[in-house]
Amino acid sequence: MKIALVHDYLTVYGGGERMLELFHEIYPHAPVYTLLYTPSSMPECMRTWDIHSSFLQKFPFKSYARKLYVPCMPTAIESLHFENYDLVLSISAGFAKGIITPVSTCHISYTLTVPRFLWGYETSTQVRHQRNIALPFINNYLRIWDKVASDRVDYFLANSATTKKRIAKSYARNAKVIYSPVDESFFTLSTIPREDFYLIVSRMEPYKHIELAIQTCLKYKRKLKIIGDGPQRRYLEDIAQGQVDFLGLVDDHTLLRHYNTAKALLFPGADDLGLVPIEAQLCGTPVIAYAKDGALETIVENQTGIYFSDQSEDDLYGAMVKIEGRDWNPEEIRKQAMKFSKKNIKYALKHYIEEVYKEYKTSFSL
Amino acid sequence: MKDKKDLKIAIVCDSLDQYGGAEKIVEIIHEMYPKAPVYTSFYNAGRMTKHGFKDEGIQIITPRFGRNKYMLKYAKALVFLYPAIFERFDFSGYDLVISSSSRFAHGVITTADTIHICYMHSPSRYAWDYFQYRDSLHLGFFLRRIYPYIISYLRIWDRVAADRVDYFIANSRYTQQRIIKFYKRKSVVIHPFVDTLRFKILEKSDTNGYYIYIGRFIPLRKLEIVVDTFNKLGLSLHMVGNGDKKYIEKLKKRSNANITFFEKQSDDQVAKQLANSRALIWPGVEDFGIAPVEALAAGKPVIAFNRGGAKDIIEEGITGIFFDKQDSSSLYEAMQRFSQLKFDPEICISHAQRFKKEKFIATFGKYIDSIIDENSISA
Repeated sequence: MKIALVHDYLTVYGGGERMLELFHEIYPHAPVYTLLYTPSSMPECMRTWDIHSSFLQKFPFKSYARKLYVPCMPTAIESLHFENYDLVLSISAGFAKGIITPVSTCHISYTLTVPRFLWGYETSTQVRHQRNIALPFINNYLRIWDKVASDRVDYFLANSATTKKRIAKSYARNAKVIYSPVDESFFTLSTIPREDFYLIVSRMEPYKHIELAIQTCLKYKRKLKIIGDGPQRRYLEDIAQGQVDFLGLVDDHTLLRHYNTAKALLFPGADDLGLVPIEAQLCGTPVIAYAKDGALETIVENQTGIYFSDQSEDDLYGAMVKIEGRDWNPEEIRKQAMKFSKKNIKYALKHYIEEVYKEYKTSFSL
Repeated sequence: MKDKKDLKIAIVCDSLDQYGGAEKIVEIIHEMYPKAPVYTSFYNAGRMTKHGFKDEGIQIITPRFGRNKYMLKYAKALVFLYPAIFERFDFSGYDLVISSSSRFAHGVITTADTIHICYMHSPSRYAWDYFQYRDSLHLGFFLRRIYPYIISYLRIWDRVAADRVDYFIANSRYTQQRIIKFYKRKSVVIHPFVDTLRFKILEKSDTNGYYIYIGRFIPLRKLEIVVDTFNKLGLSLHMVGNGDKKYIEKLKKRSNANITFFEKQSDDQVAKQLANSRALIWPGVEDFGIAPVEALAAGKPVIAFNRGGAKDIIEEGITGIFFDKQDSSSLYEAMQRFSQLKFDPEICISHAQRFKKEKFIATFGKYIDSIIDENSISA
């Protein structure tokens, strides 16, 4: 069986790219097709992969490519060839699902999210409020394309029930939920004693609502450490008035140590799934999360964390009081999160893909 | 989900430009959900309020240019802008969006947290009644050549946008069929209401023997077949309404002396004309059709082409008769049949009661509640 993998772009390393790595672990000989590939911003290990990029790779001004060439991306992804493959797996947050495959090729799309900027969800840049006059028209075209392209997928996989719901709403398609995994052999329990601080691990973007955590911690005198970087960093440092530790991007072991010593993880934004709360829980750390979307699937109330229902300082503080008011059992928390372990997810994925591929072959008598 | 009265609801409509049937529906929906803001592309406050629209207490949200006089003047020509206008409205935070659409409002974007119910007056006529609609525009040399390309784009958009609706309500069985045909979607039928009060209070004087057409003078209504038939019959006919100047001239030239045209009539004058007539002639295909209901309310039967919304309004042999082909010989034959039948005005009046405002409010409200319940169960 000849298998290919497709991904939107390989320019920034994040959750989607980790998912791609997992698929590549399952199918190590599969080539990877993508719109754009910048090796310098990707992990070393990918240099041994067989990566093919679209014609956008030849375009100039590559550092702006993800903004500048958006109107060309539908055409670029459609220009990739898959005639010689039996199975194509696209890992997509947008364009990759729009590839063209023949009847002889089964196309399964692992959907990380529907494009947030097209379908009314909060985005990092709040596209709606930009004053670029061409944008509504470009987005109008992309919306039409995105809907039509969704019909090119034979089977949808969703990374969470939230994404499944959104696929149903925007594409009127059914999807099977298989969560994105976290490496349970790396994120483990430790014997280092807990310290008195709350932790945030996040890209610094508006929809993550880190400012809410900062303001609450200032108001109620709690210690907060933030790992991560992003466009909002300066603004957040301003409102923190020097009373919050900004650690920036850290190496994996520092990250692990912070997960292991934090009193609890704060997750004040809403995300389709959110891998960070799972990492924290595998390290035995309880999570305080805004009760919306992905967090509702990853956390078990009162067993592995506490929800707050309004994005307000008082509500978040209320959750902190609950966290501080009792002891938490790290083993119990980790156990709950094991359903997101790499081992379990890998098995589920492989099993599902085999099943579905068989079904596809039968239905087209291949 | 939250308690019903705490739900955040928004209303969307194509435009608030002329105070007609669709706008009255929006007004009533707003009356039912008074806290809901109304999102629309253009709001012509001057013209709307002059004709009786009351905008006090209605929060109307338009794009920045949506009330600009200059833009209003060209609003109809800016068709290619509308999809982007409606896609830019932000409904995050709303539990329910009710759109009232015959052109663009169904294309708004709602997330998986918001239910979108569309009251569809008609799948866009510019897209799906293309030739008739195009011909009614009298486009110039240049526009006539680029028009098909613009509509081609809008037609693709219209089809894709229809999939953004979670639940469709059709205003007639005819619209329901069109929604199946063009959008491949199911819908429930809830008829619009027609304000019939002013027809009841008039005393019913004896009929002078004239027939009447009330409505717009537009080629879509196929009025030439009425003119031809009455030329042949020699019976008296009153043509009441406004519309396309060129078309009216054409019809006048075609007409014999037994056909009289009445343009720019007030509501009261129209009601009086109707009260003294024998029957309404209804030759066009409408998605619903307000004039046939008004005729029934005035106790008058209707002679209608057997297609479109008229089939939901009229019952053959009881409140009117149908003709099966949209041509003058079929209408002529129907007129012959009509002259041998008798119709009870009281029955006509009672049939018009099915389209009362109170009925609409009750049915519409009940349906919306059922959708809310259905979704809170699964939530």
